Amino acid sequence: MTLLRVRDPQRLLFAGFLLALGCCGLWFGWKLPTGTAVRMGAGYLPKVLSGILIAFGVGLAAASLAIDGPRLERWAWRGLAIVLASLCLFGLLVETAGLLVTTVVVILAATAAAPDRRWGEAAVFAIVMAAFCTLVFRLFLGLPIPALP
Amino acid sequence: MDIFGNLAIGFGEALSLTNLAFCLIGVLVGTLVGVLPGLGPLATVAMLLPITFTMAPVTALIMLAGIYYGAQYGGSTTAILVNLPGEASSVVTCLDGHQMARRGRAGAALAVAAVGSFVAGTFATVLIVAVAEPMTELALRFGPAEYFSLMLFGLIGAVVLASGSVVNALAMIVVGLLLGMVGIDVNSGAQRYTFGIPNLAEGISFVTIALGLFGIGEIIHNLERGTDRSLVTSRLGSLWPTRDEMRRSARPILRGTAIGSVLGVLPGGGAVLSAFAAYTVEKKIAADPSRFGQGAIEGVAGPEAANNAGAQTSFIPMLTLGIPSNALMALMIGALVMHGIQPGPQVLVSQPALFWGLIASMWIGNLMLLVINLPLIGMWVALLRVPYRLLYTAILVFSAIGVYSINNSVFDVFLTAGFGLLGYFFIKVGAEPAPLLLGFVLGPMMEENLRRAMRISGGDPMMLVERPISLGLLVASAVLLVLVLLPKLRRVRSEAFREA
Repeated sequence: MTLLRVRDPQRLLFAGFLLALGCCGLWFGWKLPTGTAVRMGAGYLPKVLSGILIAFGVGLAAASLAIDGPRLERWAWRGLAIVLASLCLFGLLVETAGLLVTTVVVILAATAAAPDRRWGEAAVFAIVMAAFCTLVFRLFLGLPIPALP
Repeated sequence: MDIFGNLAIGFGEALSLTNLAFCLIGVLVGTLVGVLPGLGPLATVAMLLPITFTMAPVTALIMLAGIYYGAQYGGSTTAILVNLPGEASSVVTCLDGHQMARRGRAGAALAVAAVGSFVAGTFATVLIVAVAEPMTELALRFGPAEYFSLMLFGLIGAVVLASGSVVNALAMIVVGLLLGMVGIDVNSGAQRYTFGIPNLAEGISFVTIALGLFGIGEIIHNLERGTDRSLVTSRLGSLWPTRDEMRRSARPILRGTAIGSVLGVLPGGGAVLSAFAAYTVEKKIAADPSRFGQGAIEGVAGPEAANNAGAQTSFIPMLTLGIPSNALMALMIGALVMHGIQPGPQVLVSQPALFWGLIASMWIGNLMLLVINLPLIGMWVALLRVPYRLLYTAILVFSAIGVYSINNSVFDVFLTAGFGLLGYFFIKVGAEPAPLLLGFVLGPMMEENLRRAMRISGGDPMMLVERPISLGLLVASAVLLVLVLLPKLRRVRSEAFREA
């Protein structure tokens, strides 16, 4: 006999997220002045909203133990990591390496996430994209991004 | 002011060379993202928003609006030719449109979709012109209490009419509201959740949220499930519908236009809901419902007219009340704010050229789409052959450039990566991100109005229910919420969203 069984893992995970966010909201917003209903302080609504989130989290967590739901799918950690890392790579490179180099590097890095990747094709595409982006964003639209290092 | 005077101002503005050019760019980009599955108008508008900074506000809005309704035209092309929804709003077009394509009537299906969209777009434009002034006059009489209740109604309505779990959606709204609190409090100057990071002082840039949740999260999800699009048919058949096909599609187009025009205005409405509703209606009233799914032209004409009408009338609450009815309108509000225009009823009075110019441009844009779309079909089909393994790297780079150039801030790029992770998490736990974006945009406005209302009433929350308009809106929100939680209605609602 099992007393507690997770019937809806997706919902439980979401509930956990809401609880965590609500607790963070309270914790980091604790020192903000609450004020009164007439003169609401900066902390009034953040605390109320954090409280509501915690209530949602508790409610959904309870529901996840009572009502059956879909199973948790596997996470594509590899794709996730590569896509996010390429995006961060853009942030790290763009101000020092310039748009041309950054575009080539980011496209090649992101290509690693595709299950059907072809490096040769990606290399050509990266160079075309670098030229296109520099032309459109730097020269045509005049965005203040350096083109070259 | 009379309607014709207003339209003269509008067309005068929209017909300037710059605005015409950017209207064309907007509808072309819109058609492009509409054709390509895996890239939606929401992520595109967020991506391109930063580059509109150098333009005049009216030009920026004309282009961004063109992307939204242009995507409705493009989505049908992919649905009919490839049996893949290029856009969420053309899911139902796949059902009969692709069957028509298989029987060699792809050209006729495309033509009917384009003409239906144009008729709907024209009617929706007229409707916006007609209701804009009365709506604005009503809204100008609203006090803070009415505004707070109206926004609450908008948020609740958005939840009820959206697909997916209602409780999850409500929780997502609160998450959005809380994220909206980040930054310096305008009333007291206190720093809220900024953690001493100067980039957060003005709040989280909403482009990072929109791109992270809808762009980056979606890429990661698409990569793991794979995108198969090998079904491109090359045979279009005659572009001219037969006399019988024309006769069959006339009424569905009109019905779809009416359905879309109404549903577009409602909170949570817009293109997707309108298309689903129109398909359901056509199937219900058809003499022989069994033809649906076998290539019934009514099943293409109705939804295609409806999604375009819905896309356009969803601008009504955004323009006249300053309240977004769906996530894309939330982005448009953000665009207005970034250009230094406070959204709300005063836009019509203070910026008549912008207001009427945008509306006039919608009709011009629809005309452009009707004229350029069919001859360019070959080009769109060729674009469909671009594999996703190249497409997503390009989306990633465009997103990064877009986010970076808002504030020239590397921090925003990292923040977008964080929201991308969150977006993927939301997909995995089955939580729709659209309510979060609505809550995020409305949060600061709701707080401001609530605080003001409370100060006027001396802290008495009864004020919200003592004023008749405010009370009516609150009652309507409560009724909506109760209705959607009733088991019977829940079934109807989930059926309405199932693909016929």
